[in-house]
This record gives sequence, structure tokens and C-alpha cells, in this order.
Amino acid sequence: MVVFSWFQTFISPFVSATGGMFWHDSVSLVIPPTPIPIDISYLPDPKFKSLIIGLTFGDVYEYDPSTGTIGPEILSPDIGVYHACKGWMDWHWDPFVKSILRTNPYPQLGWCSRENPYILRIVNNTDKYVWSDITFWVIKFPIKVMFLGMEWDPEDLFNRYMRYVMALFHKLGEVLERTPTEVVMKWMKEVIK
Amino acid sequence: MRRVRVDLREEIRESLKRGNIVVIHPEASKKFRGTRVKAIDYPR
Repeated sequence: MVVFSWFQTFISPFVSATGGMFWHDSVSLVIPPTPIPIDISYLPDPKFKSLIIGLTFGDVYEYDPSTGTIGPEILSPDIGVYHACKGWMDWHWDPFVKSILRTNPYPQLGWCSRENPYILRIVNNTDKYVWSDITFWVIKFPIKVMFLGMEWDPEDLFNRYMRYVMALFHKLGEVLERTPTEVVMKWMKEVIK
Repeated sequence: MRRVRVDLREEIRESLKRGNIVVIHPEASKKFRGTRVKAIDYPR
């Protein structure tokens, strides 16, 4: 979970204050050889607003449809997915090769809903059936959250919160620029006492 | 060779005969399994 460390620093306070709940969803895929890519969409729970924080690609295996059995692991640039995450990651190609499959969890930070599902375009240009699996890591928020006595859409509040985090550090930088080094060093010594 | 759950095997085989991808989620609604361009439905 090392890749989620940035999440713990900045996102956890927001999740804690707004009643978000950690969640994940795992699906298996049996993908036939096909010259035509296959689109599938992940639709999160409609009773919540969902923030996708990561994806995990499982290992990929050959699959024998005649016996229903899984064979040896298969790594190939001819198998993989195109995908994107709104506001976070642009549409791109992920081949099922080690450098992709071993980068887990695959960090994301995008809102997902029935109206705006997470789309995967699956490609299998080999002559083999393959078995794979994907886990979606999600924070589920209530449709409306209360904060400072007001009702908010969690996505709007989250965007505002992130802007304030940026503004805070920007302002802090300005203050530090105007502060003599010896004063900053004194502050730091007091902080780490 | 590792064996896939027996009750899923027949369903997977039938769906693959139609040239479809098979989405296996224990709680996915039936209509979203084994369709070429469909969705992974939220478990219910």
C-alpha cells in the first residue's frame, strides 16, 4: 500500500470528516481472442458518490474454454486495456506486461458514477483465450455530506478542499520566502523538539 | 491447470461460444454477464 501514502496524507482527513467509506470491488474476465476491442464499464453503487483511488490488475493466465481450466501465466503486448479516469488520467494503452501488471495498486483519483462510468476497452489480439481480474479501490461517500453546518455535494467539496490545500502551501511558501533563514531554522527546531 | 469453479464453467463455455467476454462477479446481475459491450454492474 506504499503507493497510497499520498492518499493518507491529504485525502484521509477529507474522508474522515465527510463520512467516506473504504470499498473495493473485484471482477474476473475471460477474454476471447477478438479482432474487435471489447468495452466494459464499471458502474459503482448508485446510492453513493464514488471516488476511484486505485486499480489492481491481477495476473493473466491462458484459459481453456473446452475444459474450463486456467493454464500458465501469459504476458503479452497483444493483450491489455485502454482506460482513462476523468480529471486524473488520460485515455491510454496498458499492455499486459510485467511493468504494468506489477505496478499495483495503480493510483487513481477520479469520481465515477452511473452517468460517468469507469470505461475499460479490452484487447486480445492473440489466438488464446485469457483469464484476468481487476480490483477497483473506491471511497464511497454519501450523496450529500454535511460540513461546517452546510450540505455539500462531496465531489464539489473535494475540489474546493484540494484547491485550499494548494492555496495553503502556496501561502506558506510566500511567508517562508519573506522569513529570514535563521527564523525558519528556529521554528523547525521547535517543531521537532 | 487450475480448475475454475464448476458452476461457472458451463456458463463461461456457453458465453464464449457466442464470442463474448465473460464478466464474473459473484453478485453481478445476470444481464451483465457474457455480453460483448456491457457493464460490470454494481453488486446488489
